[in-house]
Amino acid sequence: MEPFVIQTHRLTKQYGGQAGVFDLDLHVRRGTIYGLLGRNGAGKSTTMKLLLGLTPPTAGEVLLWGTPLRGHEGELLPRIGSMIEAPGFYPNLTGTENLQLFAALRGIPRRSAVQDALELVGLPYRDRKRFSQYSMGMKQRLAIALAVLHDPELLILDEPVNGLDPIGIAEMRDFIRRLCKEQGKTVLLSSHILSEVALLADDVGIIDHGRLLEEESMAVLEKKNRQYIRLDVSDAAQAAHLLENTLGIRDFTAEDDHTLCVYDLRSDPARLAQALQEQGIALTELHRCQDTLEDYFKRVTGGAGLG
Amino acid sequence: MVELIRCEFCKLKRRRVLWLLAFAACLFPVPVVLLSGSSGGGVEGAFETASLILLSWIGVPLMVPFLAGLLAALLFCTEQDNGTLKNLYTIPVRPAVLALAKVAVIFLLAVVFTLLTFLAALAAAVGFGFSVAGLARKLAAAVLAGLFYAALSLPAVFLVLWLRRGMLLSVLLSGVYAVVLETMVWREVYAISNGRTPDWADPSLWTPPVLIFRWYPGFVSSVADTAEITAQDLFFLVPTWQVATACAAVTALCLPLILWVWKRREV
Amino acid sequence: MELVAFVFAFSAAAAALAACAALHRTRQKLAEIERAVADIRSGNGCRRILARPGEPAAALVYEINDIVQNYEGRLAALQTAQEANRQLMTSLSHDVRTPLTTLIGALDAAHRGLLTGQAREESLDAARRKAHELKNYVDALFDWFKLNSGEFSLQPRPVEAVELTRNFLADWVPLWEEQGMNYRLQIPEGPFRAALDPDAYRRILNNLLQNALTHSRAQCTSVTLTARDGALEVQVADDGVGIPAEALPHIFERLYKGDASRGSRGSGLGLSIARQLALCMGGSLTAASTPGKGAVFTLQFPLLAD
Repeated sequence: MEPFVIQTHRLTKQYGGQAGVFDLDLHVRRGTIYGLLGRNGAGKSTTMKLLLGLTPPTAGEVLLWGTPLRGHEGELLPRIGSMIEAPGFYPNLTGTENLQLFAALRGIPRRSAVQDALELVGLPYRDRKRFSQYSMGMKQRLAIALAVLHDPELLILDEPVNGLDPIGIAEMRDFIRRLCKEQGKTVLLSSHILSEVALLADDVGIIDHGRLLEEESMAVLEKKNRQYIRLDVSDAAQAAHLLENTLGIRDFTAEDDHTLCVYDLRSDPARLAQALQEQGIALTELHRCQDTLEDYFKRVTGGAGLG
Repeated sequence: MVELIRCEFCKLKRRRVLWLLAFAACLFPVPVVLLSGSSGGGVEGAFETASLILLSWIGVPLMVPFLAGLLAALLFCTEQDNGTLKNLYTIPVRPAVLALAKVAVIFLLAVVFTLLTFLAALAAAVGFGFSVAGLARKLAAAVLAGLFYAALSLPAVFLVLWLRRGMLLSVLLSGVYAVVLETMVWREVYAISNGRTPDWADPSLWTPPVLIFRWYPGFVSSVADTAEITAQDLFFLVPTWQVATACAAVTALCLPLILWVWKRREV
Repeated sequence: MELVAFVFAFSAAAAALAACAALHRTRQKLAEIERAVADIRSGNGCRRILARPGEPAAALVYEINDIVQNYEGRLAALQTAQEANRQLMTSLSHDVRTPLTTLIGALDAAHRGLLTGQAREESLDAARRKAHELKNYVDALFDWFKLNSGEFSLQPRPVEAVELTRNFLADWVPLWEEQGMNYRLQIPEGPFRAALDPDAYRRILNNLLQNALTHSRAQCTSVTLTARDGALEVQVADDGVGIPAEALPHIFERLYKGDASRGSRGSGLGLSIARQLALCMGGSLTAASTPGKGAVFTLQFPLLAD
């Protein structure tokens, strides 16, 4: 079996010179949750539309389970469930009727699939409320029900927690995790909320201005995120001078006039504190810190964090 | 494809407009039948006249294009408005096949509504005690008239899709189109009633609505064995294949346009 | 009449077309099923075949999916069980090796005459204690295996639970006094009759009370007996460190030892055996806890109607 469920080769989509995606080389491993991280407008939705064949690429190709998507949509798309942008259903039909319509067109894996899907997301089966009367949360839940209706092996979710309240977000997170761990599904989700991706994803892909800047597993990222000692001092310049000349520490940065980050982990905090004190530099705080995903993101995209 | 068409019908559930139109289609024939009976037709010819009026003159030519425009708005435009296209295309359903299924629904419903009109007229005629004859031919004529006019309504469907202006304006547009078709028929009716001899070079005689108007009497009465055929008779002896070809030509012209406009839609 | 002929011909053609289309669709569906089954065979247990509810192949497809899902579930359960067994084996060997090492060490030292007098005596005593511990452990393990394979012979008989409990607790009072543990006993006036095996019942109580004494770091242990809704309820509560929320669902699992206190007495099997014993007597053992405030173990048995 191929290791990658989704693989793209130099996938490019150009919207008449405007922003699109360029030279994407995505790799989504089987049975994992892949978090596509990027600002609004970075190209996450475009990428997902390309993966689902909703828009043709300008260049490059998409490989799903080792098979190119183009020409094989009929056999590949039924194995994928998706939730892109706003929930799209027929307002004059009830939730159940909507699902039954899609069930009739795509097929279902068991006779009770519609009922099971509605039960899973906590919506009533065969009730009379039309979709136009649904609340935002119910609409989102129906969209998820549609995505899992046919028990797909791959789920592509565009900003799944968008518009949900905190409880809904926690439920969604739990749901996605269970789908992956208990049922062995592969999930590709996109988000601009770092904390959500950090909590869920096994692999992370950072996309900015249409380019995939980095693709790494969460485990490696956590290791990469360097540990450092943060010093809040009265005079950073003086302290820097002290570190370099007296203590011989070179691996540090001065964040601002009062903050230093020492990356050299061999340095003993006690010694640092003592040395600073001896020089008469006031030390207000000494922390052992680790870069969060946000800091990493800032570093990789070279800009301010996420909006 | 059959499943797609069935689902398209499901999407029309609870759309009260259609039921209203259906109701109107059943109601409209009643006064027509009554009037045909009282003015000239008598008990014998009432049903004949009424069917003629309804199927080739006023009923169908007005109703079907209007219906087609309405369905275009209900079936095509709402897909985009509700954001359901992405869900459909990832099933996968090809855009062209989806559009064809919707056009098929338009044709089917056109036939259904035409049959409704015809059956309502039949019921009224029987109810009023008029004599009914040649039912098989008239039934076939009703089906064919529905199909022909559905084909002729495709330009309206294309316009509704292309302009994408919302339900009210789409309905208005299709109403205007229906009136345009109707005018073509009326001009000829007016000309005939004034006893004018048909000028075969006049292109307005060969426009599809007029063709259908001219075809109907010949089809319904199966005139083939009259000794002498006057120019007037020739006017009304348009073979079915001619009409079918004309309508097919319109379809062949409009379908690709409709598919082109539909495929251009960004999901 | 040619109209009728035309209609007939048209219908015949339409019917033929429909039949061909249906045949083609069925063939396509079968090919699809074949491909999916090949994929499942190659190990992809998540693959599902889809069918519309009204399709001819639908019933077959749903059955295949059901079977595959069933086997996948069993496979997953087997794998978890296998993993759990592997862990069990590892910890078992460790649990046996540790006291054995000490034992051998002490005996070897005595044998080689390295120790004399007092040291030698202490060493031999330590060896003896370790040997007993090991025996207890192996006995507990054996009981656990027997319980789990249904070979353990319990003999429940109608007993008066209040009197029985009072007698057992009487043995504990001196121990509590010695260890400085406060205790509170709320035993109502009987009689409450239940079908219990007295030895098993004593074992459960002993286990719970021992845990409260040695592991919970509590100041006070309380035992409450109530009869409610036709069930006898024994609650053993302590005000110690409690059990963290993530650990709570797992404490009755074999060899789960919470704060890794691989001490001299705990074998990790105690709670598991206690629960198993309760179940075998038709009762239940559950736990609740507020971390930092203590834990409550609730033992329930159906009362015998008089």
